[in-house]
Amino acid sequence: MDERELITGVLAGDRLAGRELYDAHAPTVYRLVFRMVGDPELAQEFTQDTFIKVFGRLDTFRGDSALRTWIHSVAVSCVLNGMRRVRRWRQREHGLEAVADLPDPRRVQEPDPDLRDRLKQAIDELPLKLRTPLLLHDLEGYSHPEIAEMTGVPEGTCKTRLAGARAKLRVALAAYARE
Amino acid sequence: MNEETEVNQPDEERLIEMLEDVADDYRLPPGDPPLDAMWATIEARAFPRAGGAKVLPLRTPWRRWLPLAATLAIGVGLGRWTVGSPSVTPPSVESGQEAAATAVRPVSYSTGDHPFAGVATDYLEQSTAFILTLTTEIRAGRPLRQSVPQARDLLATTRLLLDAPGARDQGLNNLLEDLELLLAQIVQLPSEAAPEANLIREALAQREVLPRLQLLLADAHPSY
Repeated sequence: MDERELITGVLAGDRLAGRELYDAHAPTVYRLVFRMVGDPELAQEFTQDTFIKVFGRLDTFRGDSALRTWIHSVAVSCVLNGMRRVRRWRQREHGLEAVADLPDPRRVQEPDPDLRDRLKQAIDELPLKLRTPLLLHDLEGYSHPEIAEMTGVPEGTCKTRLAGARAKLRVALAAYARE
Repeated sequence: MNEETEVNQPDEERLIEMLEDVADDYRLPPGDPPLDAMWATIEARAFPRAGGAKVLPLRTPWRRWLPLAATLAIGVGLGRWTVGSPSVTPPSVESGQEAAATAVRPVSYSTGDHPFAGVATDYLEQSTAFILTLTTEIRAGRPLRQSVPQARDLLATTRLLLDAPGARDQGLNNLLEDLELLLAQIVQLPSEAAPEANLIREALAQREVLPRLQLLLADAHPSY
């Protein structure tokens, strides 16, 4: 079945069509969600929520964007809304102040092999509202209009947040470089 | 921000290069996504049973034939189906007494004129035995991962029965749907499942699955 047939099947209550649609998109949705939350259990929960909503709202999909983009926008929405409810996530939300106590950068003469790990850690430490556009744009390759659609914020705000995220990363890496 | 920090910051182009470098391995899931386990929950919540098409959470092409196979299997006597594991024990007297002491929500189910009743009886017996065994395992604090394969088999059969044309009695359907949710929870158990075991114990108590099963069996099978 092609995508249109799958959609029609799901709208008719066809579980087989639902499963095929799920099989086609669940791996990338799970991957995206996991990258956003970094927790297998939460990733599983939000992926489930995503597809329950996708199947429940599929009649609202107008084909203005690719189905994959639409499903991912539902996933991002599930994560952003869900994370507000997840108290433990707050424990993961550190400001970049934690990066302050770092050694003197002048001792570093060559590119540090751990710089990639430091960059990943700095991304982890970004606030969710900054990390999301960075993840979607710089790591997942989405365009600003797509991110605006996914996150429900104006395109200009997405660009501003991306710039803010990058600025914080540069500061974090500069501080690290002082080691 | 002082001058020294600014000097050591990577410029925008360099940062983007670094981000591209980590894009492929930043926060990747540790393994394959648990597609079947997630589907069990999604399917139960997104696809109402009544009038829905018949699909099992299997990823093999032959799943397309399972609804037909289910009908045939039921036709030739699914009652001979067994869980097939020596670890499943029959209901004990003690467990039966405990269940009788539990508040029972009666299932309105008449066996006399229901062609599906006899077919389902053995399956219900196996489900009862499995849940009694599970209750014992939880009470003893033993890990439940050995129960997962049996739960998976029972889950598949439960769905076959739910999708079967004969399963239209509302009380039986409700019970089967509760069983389906319970079994789906067990199938999703991680290897170390102590907290989840508590959740399953609570689910068993709240849904009164065991007393309802036993009441249904007593109704369908007077010698039980």
